[in-house]
Amino acid sequence: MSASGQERRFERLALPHLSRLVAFARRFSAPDAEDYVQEAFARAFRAFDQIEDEGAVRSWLYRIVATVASEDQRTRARRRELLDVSQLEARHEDLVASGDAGPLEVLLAALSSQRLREALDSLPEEFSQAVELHDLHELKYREIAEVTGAPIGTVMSRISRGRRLLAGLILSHADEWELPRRKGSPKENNR
Amino acid sequence: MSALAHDEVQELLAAFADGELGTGSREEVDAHLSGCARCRAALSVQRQFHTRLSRMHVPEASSPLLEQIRARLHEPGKARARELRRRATTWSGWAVAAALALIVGSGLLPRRSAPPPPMVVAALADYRGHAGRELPALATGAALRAGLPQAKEPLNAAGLRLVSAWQTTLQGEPASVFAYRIGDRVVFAYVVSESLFFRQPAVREMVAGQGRYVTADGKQSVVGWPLADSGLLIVGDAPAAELESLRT
Repeated sequence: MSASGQERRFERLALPHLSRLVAFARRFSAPDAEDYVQEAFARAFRAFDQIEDEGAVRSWLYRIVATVASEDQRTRARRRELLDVSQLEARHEDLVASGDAGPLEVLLAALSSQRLREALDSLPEEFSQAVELHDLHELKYREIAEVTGAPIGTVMSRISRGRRLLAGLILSHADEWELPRRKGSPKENNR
Repeated sequence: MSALAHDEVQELLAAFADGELGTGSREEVDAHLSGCARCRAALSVQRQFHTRLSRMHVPEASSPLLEQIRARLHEPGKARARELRRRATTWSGWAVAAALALIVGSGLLPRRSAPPPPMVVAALADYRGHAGRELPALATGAALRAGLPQAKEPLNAAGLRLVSAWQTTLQGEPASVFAYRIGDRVVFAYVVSESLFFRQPAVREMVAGQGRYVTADGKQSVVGWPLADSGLLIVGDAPAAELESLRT
């Protein structure tokens, strides 16, 4: 394929993912996100003539972005705040034990997108990344397995658990974040 | 349904909610849900988050970025390579080796079959050399540490049991071998020096792109990845995915 033909093919298949890739790169380092994506696109373009399965381009690009970001020591130095994961799981269990997830619905309706984003980012990386790739970036589980290198069963488990932890986190912080509770729902029990 | 089955269902609820389960598993989860109010509430939690998160706005990339990327695609290859090398020198550890490889690397790329690098050929030969022979007796504690260049056990996945460990030589350099039994198989884990591991261009390339090296040769598969200050190769008569699953 000619150089210009390759560029047109790259623009057609890769550039439509640009905004979402930048959003994904922000999870590693917001200030460096555009640098990561620029570097990832440069690498991808050099190997693009080897791509035959055009349906695989999206997950391949996400994978390169993750690789570029993880090579950067600034990302490596980043540490998430340690959460008490078992406590968050317990809060979720408290909720579902009643057989009614309605109280969470009320909290979620009142939660700002910024706060939800912060909550997602505060989860352990493997859970947060899997939930983000599916729910925000619309990747299929198979594609997430390709991006992360994890077996698809692990992807299923990570997304399930990631959402449970999010529920636990929001329930735990409902009062601190001044979220309204459904009439009759239990207050934070300071477990 | 047993408590274990309940736990298993918990791990499948996201895939069930997202329509990502196969028919058989979907029916099993469905059957469990009909009798478990707790799991029905947990399923509602999964759906609530998917709905809410999928509505979150993803901001557009900036226009300058798009222009910068387009401009970079037109750069001469040598200039790009220089820039990457310059940037690589500001990075550290594995990243330097990875960036110097100047690769993209991904299992999604159709790869031309290439012979394994010398380190892998040596590991395969060593592995085959022990096939059908008695393995060295397993030393423990200080004796094990004293006899091996890299004494820390590299694998601790569930179901693995260390049956032997000894020193060998790969490409003229000392390496530790740990033989593990898993089920009815024995796999060898070779711990080599960081410099030996990353001297192999094919290994650098794949590790940078995929996080691990994978190849197969005849009945044997080889999977490798970097450890904190060394490199690991697992060799066994098993599919590569099975060897890779030993990574914890």
